[in-house]
Amino acid sequence: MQTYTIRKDEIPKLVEALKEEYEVFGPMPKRTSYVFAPVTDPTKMNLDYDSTIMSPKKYYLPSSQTLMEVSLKNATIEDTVKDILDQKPKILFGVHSCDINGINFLNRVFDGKYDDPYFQAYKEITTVIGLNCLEPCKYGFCRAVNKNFVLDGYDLFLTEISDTHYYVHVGSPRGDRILTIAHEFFKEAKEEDGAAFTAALHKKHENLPVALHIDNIHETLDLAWDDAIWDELGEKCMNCGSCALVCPTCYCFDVQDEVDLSISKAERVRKWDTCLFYDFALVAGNHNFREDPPARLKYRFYHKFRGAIHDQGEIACTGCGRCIDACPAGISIKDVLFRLQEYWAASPTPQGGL
Amino acid sequence: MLITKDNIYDTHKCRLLRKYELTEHESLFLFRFEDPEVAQNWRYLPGQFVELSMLGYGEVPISICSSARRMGFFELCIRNAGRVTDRIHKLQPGDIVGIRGPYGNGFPVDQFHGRDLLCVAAGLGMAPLRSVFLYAIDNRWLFGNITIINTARYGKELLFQKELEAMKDIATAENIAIIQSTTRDPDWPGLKGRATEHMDKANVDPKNCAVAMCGPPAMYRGMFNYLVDAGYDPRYIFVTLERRMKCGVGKCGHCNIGTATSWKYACKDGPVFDYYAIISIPGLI
Repeated sequence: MQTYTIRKDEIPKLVEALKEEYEVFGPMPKRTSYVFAPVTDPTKMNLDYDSTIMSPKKYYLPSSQTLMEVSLKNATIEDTVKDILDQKPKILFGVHSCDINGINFLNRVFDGKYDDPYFQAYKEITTVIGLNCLEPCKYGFCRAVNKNFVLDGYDLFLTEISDTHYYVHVGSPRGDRILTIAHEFFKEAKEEDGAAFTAALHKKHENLPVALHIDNIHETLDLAWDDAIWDELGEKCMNCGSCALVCPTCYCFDVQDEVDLSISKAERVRKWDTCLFYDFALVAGNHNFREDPPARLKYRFYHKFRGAIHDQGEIACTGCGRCIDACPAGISIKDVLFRLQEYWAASPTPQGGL
Repeated sequence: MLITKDNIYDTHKCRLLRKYELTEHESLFLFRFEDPEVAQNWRYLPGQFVELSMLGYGEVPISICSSARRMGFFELCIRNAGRVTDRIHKLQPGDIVGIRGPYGNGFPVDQFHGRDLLCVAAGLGMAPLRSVFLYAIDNRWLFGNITIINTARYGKELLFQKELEAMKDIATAENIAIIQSTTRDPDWPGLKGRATEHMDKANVDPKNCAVAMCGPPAMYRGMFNYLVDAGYDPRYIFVTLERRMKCGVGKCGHCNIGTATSWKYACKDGPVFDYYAIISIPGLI
């Protein structure tokens, strides 16, 4: 595989060059944190960011999105997939492994027998430039959930190999397109660059914490179904849904028809929803299948670490740690996993071992 | 058969042909697809549901209520229970709605062939079960004896009471027992009591009988106890469940039923579940 290097100080120029063909989004500073936002000033984009407030999920599954344009006058309904495909192509610059894994997870959800055309359209127009994390971030635990690396889902992938250079992997024809239109910034990697890349990966594995192992998480959760931990957390949880909003894998949505003031047209809108909200499982006749807050919180954990294995073949957590930062009640998914791990360790094992 | 459009959320136009008031809150709606090709080729299984779309109001999941063998048309029995269904009840014959589907697994009717059939409905549960017993009546030679138990709290809430009453004479000749009962109605002239109290009148062989049920959880628990004690084969006991649904295709997450050892979408893996799923997945009923 051909690999390249690019000078760090040329990244702003690269972004400027790409802007002709693409709309570029990247980690931009916002007050004390970072957000994925349009890169208006490429010198402000900071690839040394630790984490962003929201995940790049919003570029594939917008928080609010018109699915259908409805004309009430003519009783017609038309989808908006073409509007997405007509947008200027997007580049997501500097997406960490956790978030690329998040996008891959969403892809598993929206793919399949019932293929979601909106998600696929966003995927079609979006180029992902990934970025290797060599330092741990404040709340992240990606290595504990095996999401500190990516196998696919990126178009270009950058790894810092020195104070001045990134090492560049090309992951798809879309990534190759960037090399074509901005070839002057990329140099073919030399042997010593390859050695520096290996050294960078060594550094990454030394740096990222691995105190938590969740190999047995599904069995642990089976055992912990009646544990008191769920009531305890449920009492603390405010059911605000912040964790689900910032989560790169939470995909649940609500669909509503919103009528225009003119009453001649309406929009069928898809909006983020979360299982923590009271009305998530409420049906006609006012029966609620998850009436109590602990039931909803427990459901969210079980979906993430148990149900997703049934459905998508992997857990729905990328270890990005955003929900820990976002939770106003101070519930930490990492601490919960630690406690569940203890539960597993304390559970009875056969006499004499295996 | 699912007639797909490019967009899974896109709907087929359907025209309301007839509206028939069943009770104070429920009406039966007869629809036909506008596109003749869709009307000819649209197939479904008993127990499947559709997403009915009212432009400007939203979508609701509704069980199909008619026989899967009567093609070109389909019926939905809808209770006026919310914003969208209230609008549906204001529809007049000739009005257009949007339909997508059918979704869900439906009853595994091919497994029922050669067996007796017991349908037990309580309240609105009659809506999805009507598609099962009409299917069985349309394919009478594929089934043994058939028993239909229809219960409600009050006589005026008994769905399809007149239809079933009108069928009774022919039904008896065809070895179809029809039992209609109310639980709280002092003025009801017919049978009184819950479904379990009339099981002695069921004209089926427990050893060789498929059971389809729909009703509130309390009815399921009572019926399960009875059926298992009476020697019904648990592999042929099926219920159909209700959940909040938005997409109908396993994406939106609303109808998810999750526990320690199992994970199901009511829309994709259900809404019909077998006895084993019910006893092994707490929270299902």
